[in-house]
Amino acid sequence: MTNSEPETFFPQELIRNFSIIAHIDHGKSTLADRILSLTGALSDRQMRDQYLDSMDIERERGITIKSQAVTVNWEKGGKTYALSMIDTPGHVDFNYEVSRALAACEGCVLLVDATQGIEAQTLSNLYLALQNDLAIIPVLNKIDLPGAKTEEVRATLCDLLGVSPEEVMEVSAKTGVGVKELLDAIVEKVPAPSGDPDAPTRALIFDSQYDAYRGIITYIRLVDGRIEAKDRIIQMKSGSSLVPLELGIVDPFMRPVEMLTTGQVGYVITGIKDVRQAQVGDTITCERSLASEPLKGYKAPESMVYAGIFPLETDQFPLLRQSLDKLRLNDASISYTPETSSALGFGFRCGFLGLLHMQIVIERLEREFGLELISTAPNVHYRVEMADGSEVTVTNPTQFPENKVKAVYEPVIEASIITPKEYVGDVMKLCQEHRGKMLGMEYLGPDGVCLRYKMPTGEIIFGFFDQLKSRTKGYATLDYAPAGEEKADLVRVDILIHGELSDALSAICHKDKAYEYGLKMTKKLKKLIPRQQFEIPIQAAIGQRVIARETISPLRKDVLAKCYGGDITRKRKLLEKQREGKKKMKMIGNVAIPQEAFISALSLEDLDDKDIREKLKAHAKK
Amino acid sequence: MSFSNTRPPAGPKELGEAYLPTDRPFRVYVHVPFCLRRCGYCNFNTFTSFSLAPGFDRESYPALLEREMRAARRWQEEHGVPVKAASSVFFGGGTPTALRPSQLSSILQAVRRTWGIDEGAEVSLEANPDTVDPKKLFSLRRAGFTRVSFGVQSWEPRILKILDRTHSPQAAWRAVRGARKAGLECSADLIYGTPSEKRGEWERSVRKTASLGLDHVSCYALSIYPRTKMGRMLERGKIKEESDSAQAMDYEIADSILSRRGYKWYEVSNWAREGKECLHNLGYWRGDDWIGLGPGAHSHFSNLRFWDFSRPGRWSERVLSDDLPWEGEVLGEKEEAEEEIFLGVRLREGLNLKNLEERLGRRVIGELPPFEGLAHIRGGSLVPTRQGRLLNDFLARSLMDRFLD
Repeated sequence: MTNSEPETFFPQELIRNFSIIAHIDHGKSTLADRILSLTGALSDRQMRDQYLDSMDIERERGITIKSQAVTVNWEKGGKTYALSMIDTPGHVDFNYEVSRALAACEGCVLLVDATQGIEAQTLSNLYLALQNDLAIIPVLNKIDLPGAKTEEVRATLCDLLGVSPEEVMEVSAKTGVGVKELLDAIVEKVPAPSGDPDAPTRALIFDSQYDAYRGIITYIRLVDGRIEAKDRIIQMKSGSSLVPLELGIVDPFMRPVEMLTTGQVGYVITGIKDVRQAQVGDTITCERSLASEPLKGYKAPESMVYAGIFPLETDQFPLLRQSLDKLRLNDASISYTPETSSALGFGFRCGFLGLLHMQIVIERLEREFGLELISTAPNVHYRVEMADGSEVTVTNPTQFPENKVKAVYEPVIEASIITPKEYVGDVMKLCQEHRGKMLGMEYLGPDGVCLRYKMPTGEIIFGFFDQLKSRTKGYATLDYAPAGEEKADLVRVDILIHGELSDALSAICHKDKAYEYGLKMTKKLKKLIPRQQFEIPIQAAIGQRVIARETISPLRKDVLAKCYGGDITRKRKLLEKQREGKKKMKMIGNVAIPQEAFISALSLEDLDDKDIREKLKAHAKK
Repeated sequence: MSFSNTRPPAGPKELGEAYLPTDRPFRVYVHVPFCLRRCGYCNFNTFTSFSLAPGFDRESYPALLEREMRAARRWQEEHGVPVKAASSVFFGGGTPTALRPSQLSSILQAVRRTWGIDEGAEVSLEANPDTVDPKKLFSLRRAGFTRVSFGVQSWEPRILKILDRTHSPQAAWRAVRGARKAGLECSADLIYGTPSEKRGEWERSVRKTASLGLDHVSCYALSIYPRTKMGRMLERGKIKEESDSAQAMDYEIADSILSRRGYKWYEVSNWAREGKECLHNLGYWRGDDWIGLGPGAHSHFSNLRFWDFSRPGRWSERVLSDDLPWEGEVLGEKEEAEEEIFLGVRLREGLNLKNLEERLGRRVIGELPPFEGLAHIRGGSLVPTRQGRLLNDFLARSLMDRFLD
């Protein structure tokens, strides 16, 4: 067939690889959909809203987590170009994936909602693009909406990028206005890939996914040379060598091809089921044209948040391990090591990029693998210098040494917060409450202010974003990046139930917040733990020192008074049910605690009542 | 899950075929599902209207019961369930005295005709203090009743009003005096844990009861059920449930006063003078056989537990076509062991550990979990302490956890 030619031998100068950088809700997925329909890649009948966000969770949350690569054809000046659109996630937790996507592109579309203006997150992704030397096409979206501040936002973009106002394009992804012009601009402004078609084969793995039927699907960008369907390919880092089952491009359906050539973006299916065999960032070469040096790859992502994840049913532990292995394949940023908890059994201590990332991973594990999970409260990692000169890295509060500690260091971040001028005071107060140190403040246009703070990572990842939003009526945006570590006054608060340490509930806190944690946790537990036949003290302690205490009074009466008309069956069933219920409970010493109590205690939901406020006030005075 | 409640109920034929013979005493329970009005806390299977279903009203009820008795006896004969004379008969409700003495008498006659009643057997009925008078009590004694149990509940007018009881303390007092004059053994039921009841009020009620020279006293904790008048009041916040520790204290008060006045507990909720224990009641906890008659009544024969349909229409339809209005369950070894444990630990005679060892085929004595003041061993039986009575379900569950898993 003649029309399969362009797919197989696609001339390098007709290839354009780009991604779209945008904040959540700024219309990236709508624009991607529009491009798919305009180029005829998807017929109207095939068109689904936001095709690229294929995962359920992404659809429900309206965000893109996984980048995907779709190639479409676009005619300009009598030539047919192959435009590969590499999707990027839009949340701060997923910066790592953004950089992966950008490394496979030569250009990017900077999409800004004309009703909202530029946001902190977009700014940081833009810097990433600039660092990668990508061609940048600034685009204003939602220009047709009544609230559009087109000129104002245009001015800010010109300022930021040093471009002239004419260079800022305008589209309405919803109606399609301006999208044709944008596609033309991509052809004009984004350079063709620069690799050498005659050099030894080198392809970058920028993504991979596990498919239950087809095994691992690896997404690659050909940098040099070519891969043919019959080639034996070699992954340079892992050393695995095999002939692929299928080579193809996504258009947006998976379409097999005979060959992928320099500059092209496509996929490889190897039939491998072992997830460790397909590492993102690895370089693929082939036996026919063996490369000696791998590509630069990616910087390994840094985990920012750690939490223990445990199956509710202990026999699901092996399934949890397999599921994590599979998930890691297309989310290389998850790390995990086995962990045992006296209260929760066998599980894993997992590292995540951020809190949203953690929630999404847990949700995916539950949905895609049918697991029921409980997670401990998340924490950051600490470096502890011991008196004897040794060092301990703590990712789990139970590892935090109690004695002979010389100094504790906690990770810090540099945060950029963009807010309208009138909320600057509120934002500064919030940052101070979270132990922030101000680094600087810049004006962005007439109304916007960018505040820069250095803050402990542990202060910003839990709830800070929500507080920021609520104090600025939703206007402020936040971005942050790791900025090393700082010495801090930290302690471990333990929770003892009936004198027994409940390891899953221990937390590392700043000295000034320890009392608050202890007070709230003991109160929460008092509400959650059912009364038993004996008195149960619940204590929060730092080392041997008890800082807060609640008591659950003993159950004095546990007997059914009467069996009506000799209804023994009902009584027996009641006792059976109670016994079944107890078997499902977790035992801390001899106290039976329902699983739901742990789930609620470990939820990040804050407890607030009059008594707590008064006690905290009195404590602050001391 | 291994719950037996996931099994569909068994019908009379299936039950009869699964029967394994024992030599326990045989007892008869007669349910009278009529009341003049429903009390605020009541969730029993009882009705205030005269007629409950076609062919089923207060007038025709004794005849319906006799038809059920005959059908039951046929079932026994068909399935080799030994037919024995009743060691005790108990009329409960509802309000048995909502029926006339002549009706109650004819039901008792029917029991006699169907199974026979042992010489000197205990024949009890429950009564509302304001549904009896001396004459009625005399005729009941003459009809063969030996024992009456009055729903006194409290001697405090304020508490009776909250409980939505119609009788006055005076009426209760007259009823007790009338019963004793008629030569009936006499028991009173009391309720503790009524919302807002003060400790003093409860104490006065117990003292008053103990001073009347009754043979037997039962004290029950008030349970408020959702679809009752009091349940709705609780929902709307009009009344507040008493805490378990307040109820425990009430129980301890009753136990102290009654034991000082010569009553000994023999079951968690029951106290009696020496030799005046209610044998029918004890039979429930000892695992005796009994037939229950009337809508919602429960029966037990060896490894079978079954019950009459509760809905009057469903019940009478079967009875009127000479079918058995029953469904129930066949107990497996595990269920029988569970029952032996939780029934046994409710009694002062205790849970016979030797029998339990035999049933389980394993050592029990010496392997008991630590009870810390909830029970002790006396004469080879495990007997609950006062605290063990208050935490009796916990005690039973601990034993089951220890020996049945």
